[in-house]
Order: sequence, then C-alpha cells, then structure tokens
Amino acid sequence: MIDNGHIGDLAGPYAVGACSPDEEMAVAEHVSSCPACATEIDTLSRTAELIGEAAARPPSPGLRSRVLAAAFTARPGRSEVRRLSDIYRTQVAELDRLLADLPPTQWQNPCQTHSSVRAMLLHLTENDRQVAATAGVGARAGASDVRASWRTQALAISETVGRAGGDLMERDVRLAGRRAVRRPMREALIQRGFETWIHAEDVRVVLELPPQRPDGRQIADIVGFALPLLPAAMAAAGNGRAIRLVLTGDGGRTDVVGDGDVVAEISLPAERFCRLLAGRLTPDATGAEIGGDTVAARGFLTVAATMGCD
Amino acid sequence: MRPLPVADDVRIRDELMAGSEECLGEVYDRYSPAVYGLALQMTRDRGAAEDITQEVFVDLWQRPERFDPHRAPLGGWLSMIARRRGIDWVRRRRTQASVIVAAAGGEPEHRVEDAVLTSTTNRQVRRAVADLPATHRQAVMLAYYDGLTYREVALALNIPEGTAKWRLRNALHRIGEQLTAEGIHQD
Repeated sequence: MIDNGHIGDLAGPYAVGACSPDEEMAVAEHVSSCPACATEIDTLSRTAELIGEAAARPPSPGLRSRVLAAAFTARPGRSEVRRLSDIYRTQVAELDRLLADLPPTQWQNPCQTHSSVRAMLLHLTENDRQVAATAGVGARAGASDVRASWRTQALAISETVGRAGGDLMERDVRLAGRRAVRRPMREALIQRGFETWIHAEDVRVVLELPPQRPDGRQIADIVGFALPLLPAAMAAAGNGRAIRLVLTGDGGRTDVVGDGDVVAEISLPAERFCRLLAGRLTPDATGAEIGGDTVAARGFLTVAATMGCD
Repeated sequence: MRPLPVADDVRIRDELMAGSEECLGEVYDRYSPAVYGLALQMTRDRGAAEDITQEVFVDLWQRPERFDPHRAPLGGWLSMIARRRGIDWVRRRRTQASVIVAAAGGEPEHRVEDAVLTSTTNRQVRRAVADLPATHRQAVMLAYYDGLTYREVALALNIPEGTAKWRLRNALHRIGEQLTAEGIHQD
C-alpha cells in the first residue's frame, strides 16, 4: 500500500473511511510518524467533514426531548443525582428527628411488622447496606447506638452519591425486598428514600402523630421505580392480565401494566398506591375504584402490596 | 494541521463527564442538524435518521471520555460516529449487490442538493461537489454516503481499484482547493 514510502492515493479512501480495516490500521501507523502524510490526511479529512456538514438539516423539534430523555434515562445528570440525593437526605433527617423525639421506653414498642422500633431501624440499616457497599461507603465501626449507626451510614450514602455524579448511578445494586432484583443505583436510591419515608411514617404511628406525605416529585419517582417491577411480580403470581392503572393527585400518571388487552381499570391516589406498595395499606383500605374484571384488579392490588422491603 | 484541541471542546467534554444536562442540550442544539442531516442523506429514511441521531448523542452522554479533543474537533467526531452508524444501517438494510446496482445506476448529487440548512459555507461545499467531474462525484458519493470501500466503488463503477483510490483523493483535493480559493478556511 505504500507508494514511494508514503500512503499515496490511499489518503483519499482513508479520509472518507473507505479503506479495509487492515489498510486503515496501516495508514494510521504510517501517519503517526510521517508529518507530510499526516498533513494531507488532516486536510482531506476536513474536506470530508465539510461534505458531511453540507448535508445539515434540522431534525423535527420533538426529537430533542426524545433524545435528551433517552440520554438521562441511560445516565442521570448531575442535577438529577443531586435532586435524588437531596430527597433521600431530607427523609433521613426527618426520620432522625422523629427518633430523637422517641422516649427510651418506646424504642421497644412494636413498629408495624417489626417487633420494635429498634428492630425496624436495624432492618433499615441492613437494607441500606447494599447501596452503601456499591457507593463505596464502608461499615462504620464503633457507632455507639443503632440510631447513630443507621444515620451515619445513610448520610454517607447521600453525600457520596451526591458528589459522585451519574456514573455511580448506572451501577447495578441488589434492591431490598423479597425478590432478588438488581437495578441501577438511581432506582436503589429512590427505593432508599421510599423505605426511609415509610419507616418515618411507622415511627409517627408510635408517636401518635398524623401521617405526612412526601412531595409530588418523590411520589412520582416511587411510582416510576415500582411500575416496571410489577409485570414480573404479576407473572410470578400467575396473574399476568393487563390493568389500566390511573394514579391521581401529586405524582400521578396513567399506565397499562401487563401485556395484552386491558381487563380492568383501577383508580386511586398516587400517594395511597405508594403506601400499598410498602404494605402499609391493604388493597381494600386503599379505597381504589375498580372497573372491569374485579378479580384481576384485586389480584393486581394484592401483588402490588408485596413490593415492600419488610 | 488544525490546532487542537478546540478550547470549547475541552470544556464540553469536562462538563459532560461531570453530568451537566445543560451541556448536552447545548451540544445537541449545535450539532444535531449536522448529525441528523448526514444520517438522513445516508439512510434516506427519517425514522432511521432520528434513531441514529439519538444513538449518537446518547453514546456521547454515556461515554464522554471516548471523545478526545486532542484528536478531533467535536463536530467532526460526532459526524464520524453518525456516518459509521449510517454505514451500518445501509449495509444491514441492503444486500451488497443491490447497493452497488442502485448506487451505480442513480445520480446521487440530488441528495446533496436536498439539504435545507443553507449556510454560505454549506452552499459553497455543495457547489464544489457539484462542480466535480461526474466520475469523481460518483466515487465520493458512493464512498461517503453509501459507505462503500474503494474496492466496492471500483466494482460499482467498473473501474480499476487504483483509479477509484485516485478519484477519491483527487476529488477531495479539488473540493478543498476550490473552497480555499473561495476564501473558506478549513480549520
């Protein structure tokens, strides 16, 4: 291929990518030590680029949002990472504030499905540990009590993730829960915020305080996190028929869950759906309005109620 | 040689690596017409061109470290990726024989004339391509937009491989010289 010690006419095909792979490698190797050929390749490549640019044509306006949404789904941007990290930190601070108000005697009170508040917090600390390990947050030795141990680890997760940016958010983590499911860190962080909120609600029950709803963005995150997990859970329960789910209020949306023809429609507030997912509301207690195949709809709500972390 | 890196490209790469959503929007706004237009010229299929455009920008966002501002300007790099994907698409869609027959039989210059984003430079580039002898123009179009190797170009145009190589090199030089004569600095 070498012509008088140079690449000769191969410069043209090389500049437009029309060489064989072997020739391409040979040319690249040659130009790395031949300034004359490198200059010609550079000039011809620039001309080839101009030919490409001369074809420029604006895409349809709708493509922009589609492309950016696909990109940010594949790798969350830093403002999204900060937002999720902030939501988690806010829930950690709220649960910690409630625990600070909890009289020592009430730490042994039963707490929802757990034998005591202390057992609940040990369970939460354990569920957080998968995310901590993936984030590179080591076990904190010497934490004096269960509350300090949980809080130190949780705040370290929030800080590390908030600083790390999108790359860490792409890493897979085993989610907490009965099913062994691995999902990207972004979703695991949403789950941590979800579980921390739910356990704060559990402590509010112990303290006889009224429930508190998260903001609409967090509800939307939880719904967006849980919906893709539901079809597999429905199939595992032998209940794969498609349901139209209408979630109302803050964080609400409408989706068809499952494949095939829709056999039933279920409508309920998004916040109550989140509490159902956490196992804090029974299907009947959600007040969901059901249309169509009642058996299929109830089956769906029953499966949804098993998606929690307890 | 073009002076590299372009300072703005270094900033863009750094910001993309840091996860700046605004920066990806800025890159999309600046380069999507070139990426989409190139993909459309190659595929002649709007859906495929949109898919390629999406893949190019999602790839950049997911792996910004693959772009080395010391080796190429960002616009050229994105166009190169778009072109590779366009070539993959074209090759998947058609058998090699049908590409060669279709490309050799048709007059490809109208594809360049179709472009609607008419900066002065783009108009001059298109005129320089149109001013090429037909034999040169065909070789460039087959190699550039249809992704044929020079050997396939030779087969399609029924010319010796050496002639195909020479036409590609000579065509690019002619276009470059005409643009330089018209005052377009290629840097």
